[in-house]
Amino acid sequence: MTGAILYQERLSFINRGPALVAIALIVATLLYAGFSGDQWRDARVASLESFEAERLESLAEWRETLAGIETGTVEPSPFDGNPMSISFPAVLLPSPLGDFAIGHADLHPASASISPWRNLSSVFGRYQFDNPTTLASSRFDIALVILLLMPVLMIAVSFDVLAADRSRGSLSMLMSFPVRLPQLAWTRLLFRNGVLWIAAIAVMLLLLVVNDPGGGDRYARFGLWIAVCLAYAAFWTTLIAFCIAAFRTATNAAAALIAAWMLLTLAIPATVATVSEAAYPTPSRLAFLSEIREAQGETNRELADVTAGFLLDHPELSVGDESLPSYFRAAYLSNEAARRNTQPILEAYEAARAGRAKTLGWAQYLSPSIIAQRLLNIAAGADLERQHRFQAQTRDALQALSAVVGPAVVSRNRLSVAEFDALPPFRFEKRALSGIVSAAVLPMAFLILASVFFGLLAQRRLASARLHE
Amino acid sequence: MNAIVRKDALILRRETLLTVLLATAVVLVFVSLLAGLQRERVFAKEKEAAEETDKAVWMNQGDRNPHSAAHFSRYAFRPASPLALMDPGTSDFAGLAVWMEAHYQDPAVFRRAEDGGELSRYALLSPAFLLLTAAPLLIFLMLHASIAGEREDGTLRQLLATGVGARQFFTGKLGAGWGIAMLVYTAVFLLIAGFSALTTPAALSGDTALRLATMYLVYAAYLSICVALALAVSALFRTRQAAFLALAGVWTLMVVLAPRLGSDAGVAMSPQPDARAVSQELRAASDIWFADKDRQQEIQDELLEQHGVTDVAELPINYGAYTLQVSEDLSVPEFERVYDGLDDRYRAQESVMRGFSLLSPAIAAGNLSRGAAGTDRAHQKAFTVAAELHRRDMVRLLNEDYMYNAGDAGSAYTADAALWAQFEDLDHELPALAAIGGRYVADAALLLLWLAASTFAAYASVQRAIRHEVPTA
Repeated sequence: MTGAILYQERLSFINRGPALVAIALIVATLLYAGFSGDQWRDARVASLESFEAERLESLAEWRETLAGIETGTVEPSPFDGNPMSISFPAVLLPSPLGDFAIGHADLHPASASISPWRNLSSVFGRYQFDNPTTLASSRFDIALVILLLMPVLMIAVSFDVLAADRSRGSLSMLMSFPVRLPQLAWTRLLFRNGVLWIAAIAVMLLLLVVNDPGGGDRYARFGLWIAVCLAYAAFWTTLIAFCIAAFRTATNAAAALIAAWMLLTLAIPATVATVSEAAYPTPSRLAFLSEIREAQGETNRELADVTAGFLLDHPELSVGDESLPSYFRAAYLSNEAARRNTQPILEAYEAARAGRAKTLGWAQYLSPSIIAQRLLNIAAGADLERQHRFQAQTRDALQALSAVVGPAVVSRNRLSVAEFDALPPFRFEKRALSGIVSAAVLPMAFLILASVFFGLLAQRRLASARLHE
Repeated sequence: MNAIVRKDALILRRETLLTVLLATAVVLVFVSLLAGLQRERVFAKEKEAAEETDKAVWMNQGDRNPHSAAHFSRYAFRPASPLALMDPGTSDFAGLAVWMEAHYQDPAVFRRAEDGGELSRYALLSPAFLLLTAAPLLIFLMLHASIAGEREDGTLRQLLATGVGARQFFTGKLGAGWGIAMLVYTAVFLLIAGFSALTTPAALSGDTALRLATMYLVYAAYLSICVALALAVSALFRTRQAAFLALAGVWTLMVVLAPRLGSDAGVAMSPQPDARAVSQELRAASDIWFADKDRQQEIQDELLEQHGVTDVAELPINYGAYTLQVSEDLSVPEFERVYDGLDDRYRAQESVMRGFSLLSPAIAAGNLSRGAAGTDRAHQKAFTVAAELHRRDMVRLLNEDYMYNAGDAGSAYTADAALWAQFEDLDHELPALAAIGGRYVADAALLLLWLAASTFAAYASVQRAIRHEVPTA
């Protein structure tokens, strides 16, 4: 009997205009979002790679000068081979699946110059040149299509799976055949939504291959991406099934589903975001700035005393070239003071972020859209945590470099080539795929359980509704 | 006509689901107001504290060479808009502070959005967000059956048989939907405005009142368009479910897809600037004097000739300080070129976005709302331009002090707090809406066009429905 229902569905659904419109809409929006994401990723990769190459070239030149000074082949000025001029590039390249979701990646810095000239505030350089109007709209990426558009289209093609027959009076006639109402409803629902999702997955597979930059764990991440999509699809399918079972008229079912969509995809995420940010406010960036300014002002004012104090703490140092301008050591010492003064603020940042993460950890279960959004962003490497990890690793690298070059800068000496060669270049420590997958297990299990829950409820209601027909 | 209005109002009052959704939306409005109030209060305190610290650090820097002080310089902080509570607009995505350092025109830094949580790019609750997204959905839910329901139940024919004219029928339906929508909207808006006025009494001014009135009119027009669209679509279909589905599609396109597609298309046609390339351009602009040895010689020769001396040591001013100011003067047009280029790019992006207003009135209404709230890019630009002009004045003040007072001390010359006190705080206020209203003419025209077109579409659609039901009508 399922075969007969499917045959009838094929005739009535596929040949119907709205279904074709829905499929065309999915294909068009996914293709647009995919190619737009690919364009964004390529531009970002090109910019970051060029930045990295330029900086490494400058660093190689600096090292050559230092080696020349050490071997006596270069007659140095006080500025040549100065450790303050060391500048390691730090870049956060988009993840291998970065074209699928842009998430937070277009808002946060993706490059830094790790140099003793820089402090925690200036290490990322000047990067705030984007148009705030377009930045506020967020990008139209594949994740957006999956999270917002797909449920609407699923509702649009499914809300009348029973009501259309009911209103025509043909449902009772259908029930006179050896077919059960749940079987009829589920077959139709799975067929209609299956067609939509097959179209969506086919386009995403195409984009996966066509936009593949090569290398990395793109395909493994895509596996997680698809798993999240399927769990999200299962949730909406069962919720739709529940609503069409609970509401006898198509209008009421559609109204309830649209209200649920609005609540789950817009109202709850927006409320959770607002409440968690209000409950765990991050310390002010302006306070951070003030601390840095105070540290800089104080160091500049008390430079002689601060320098003397530093040298007293490092009795092993002998003062080198006195002709080097004092602003070199002033910059280093004020940056160090800024780092110390801003430590409590950074700790408060971390505490606020941890608080928000904890809130979101349980609040995500209020809406499957939040779960899906988080997991899709994680799979595509567009999550906020990845940005914060890059920033934290950059700050750590800056601190490590400062610790090494500090004594040389304050005592106006140079590093040896061997000391320089021992400095590790910046490498972004990625989150292991196994860690990503394990973080996804519980939310995914919840999505599946929610689907089972609504599926069972729908089944029960459909079974009892059969009697009325 | 009055009977139609009364009947429709009665039906709508009986819709329990609608009442629940409406009540939820009103609760959300208040949640968003409270959260917004907390944000704005915290921000106001932080800004005040940062300004005080910045000034104290500046004043307590001790004796120092004025040019060294110009490098340290001060920060300019963006003033908060009193209506950011209602519509934070793009302000979270624009920098809060500008460093007014010598030799360089910095962009505004410290964007609050960077402190947002994992879901912050999804949406942040604000009254404007709810009016732009949730209110149209409620209107569509409320009115989808307005005419389609009459057709489905066969009551439209009965109604027309009683002698109700087509125009009366249309006016009655429109009046009922519009009246209820405006009644609820006006009540909610008054509560929002009252809340804003009570919580930020210091900010009340003629300009704020004008901005509030503009916001009211913008959303009144936007919601009226939604009412007309709901009627137009409802009259197109014979069943409630078809009308509802079509309106859900309209809402998705209007509120969810078109604004993001517009923004994305704008960026695709005029890509966001590469921050590194812009930084390099600014660096080159800053170095224009230092990199041009011929120009340096030329300026030196001119100055020596002007004072009738042959060596810079004989000049009555400090030549080093003079060249510092010359370098500033030469860099200014270059900075303007770079930032004007950015501005042109932003405007091109926004023009494409505005073009998408033809698909969605939410884009034009959003632009007008942010403009009235003082939280759009135009207001941000007014702040950054004011900060740059202030930077130029203050750097000139420091360089000229160095130039005229250094004397024999040369680069060892230092100034003290008496000079630092002359570096004034940036006193920037939001530009008056009346003064910059011209920028929003295109958006206002688009919104009015939508209002006229949707009303006409509703009228034509109702006439068509009547003709279908009663061919002789």
